[in-house]
Amino acid sequence: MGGLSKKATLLQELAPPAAALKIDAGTLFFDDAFTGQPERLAQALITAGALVEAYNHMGYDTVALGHHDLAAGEAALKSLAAQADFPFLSANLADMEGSLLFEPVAHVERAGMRITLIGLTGGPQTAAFAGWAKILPWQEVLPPLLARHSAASDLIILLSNLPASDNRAIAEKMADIHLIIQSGSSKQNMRPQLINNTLISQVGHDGKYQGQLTVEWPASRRWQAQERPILALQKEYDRLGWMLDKIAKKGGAEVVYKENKAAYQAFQQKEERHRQLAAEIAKMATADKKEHPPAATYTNHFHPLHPSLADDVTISKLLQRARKKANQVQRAGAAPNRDSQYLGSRACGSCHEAIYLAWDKTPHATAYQTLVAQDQNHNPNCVYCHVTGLAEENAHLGAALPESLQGVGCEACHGPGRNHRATAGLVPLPLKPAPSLCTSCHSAERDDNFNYQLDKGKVHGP
Amino acid sequence: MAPSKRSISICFFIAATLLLTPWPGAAATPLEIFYSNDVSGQTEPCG
Repeated sequence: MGGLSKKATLLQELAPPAAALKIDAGTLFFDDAFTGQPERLAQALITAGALVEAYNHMGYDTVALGHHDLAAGEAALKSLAAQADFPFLSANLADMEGSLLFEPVAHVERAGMRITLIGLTGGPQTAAFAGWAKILPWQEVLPPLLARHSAASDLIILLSNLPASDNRAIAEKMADIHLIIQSGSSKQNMRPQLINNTLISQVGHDGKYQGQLTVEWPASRRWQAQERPILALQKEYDRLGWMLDKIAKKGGAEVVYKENKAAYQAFQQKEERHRQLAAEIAKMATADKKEHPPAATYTNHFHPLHPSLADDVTISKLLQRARKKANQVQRAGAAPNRDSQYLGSRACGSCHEAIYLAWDKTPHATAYQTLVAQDQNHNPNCVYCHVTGLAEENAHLGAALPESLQGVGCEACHGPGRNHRATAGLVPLPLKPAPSLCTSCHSAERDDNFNYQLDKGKVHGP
Repeated sequence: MAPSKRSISICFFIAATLLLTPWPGAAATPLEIFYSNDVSGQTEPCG
């Protein structure tokens, strides 16, 4: 599930151009540093360029920068920004002298509204970051920005890479920020939460869902209605009206209170009060409308980017080009890994033939080929789950693996077999690996249908 | 009885006025915000 080509199709189906705002909260381009991994950096830049091209095609309005996005360095990030038809936003990412490196805000008009977008980068505040940038604290940068832009904005949206606790603090202190789109580490979608006058929402970070907020935003610029004095009068008016109607249904006050003069007088007082209330309410209605317009309303959807969604042809093509290019970079830079303790499943099969032959018919045996078919076999984000003997942190070395380790072989679960074979089995290998080994790849976000108890038996064949 | 009918009419009038009159500055069409929090360089599922 997921993918940019499906996201593009969904957006095309759902987004009315005049009223749609397309924003990304950040940490779009990179996830880790690339120190000592030039091929991986080159590959990540190719992918990041394709992401910018795809976002251009989808008509994105802006993307905020997370601190991971700084991983390729200032020049690379500025070069990506120059390729983008939309601004990269960060109101608190500064050079070492304190000058902002990117635009702090963007202004757009949609659905008849003036919308101000602000980006905030998360990360280690005030400390030098990545040697060329520092993150300024939000407490310092937000107040002057709001003072400058609040009056001329109908709606202010913050795209925040800060931790959730900071976003809550912003919501508590700054009612002029009406919506925070949070870019967090959570893989889960987070339903909108209202804090003070700020709605906070977050779509899970694994790219499987697209968030959509439909907002009716009134002149009150408030998500919740304020207290309205007219409502108290209306309540009293309705209560009295109900009592008067009840008497009327019984034949009228003259009949009901024929024998009780005091009660009749009390009824007349209620009638008088009812008339007074009607007049007061009518008088207050105009002012009430002006001073207490209704609150905003919203609906929120997390649309799954389901495999059944068609792939956008343009995006598919540009991503395919980028994948091929990135694959070539990794392949060219790969050095053979000669010191592996892993032998490959065929070596295991020389003693454990029946198990080997059964395994050879399972999807694990051809796991690498599925990546080849998708031009993803040199994608470090993918490869370590489709081969044997490669930890996630060494995923960039995937291209160096020999053919015998391509696929999820015996040693992926039981550990490297070199000593085991050299000692004719005297050095034992673990027979039953921990479930966490399976779920490190068959995680919920990667494999929706995995069930450890049901699926563990399939490893050695049908 | 006369007062009750009148009270009902006034009540309806006020409610209709409050409900049906468009508020000044209200957006004619709702704003559709499409938002994402994407995936650190990952463009498509692995395979």
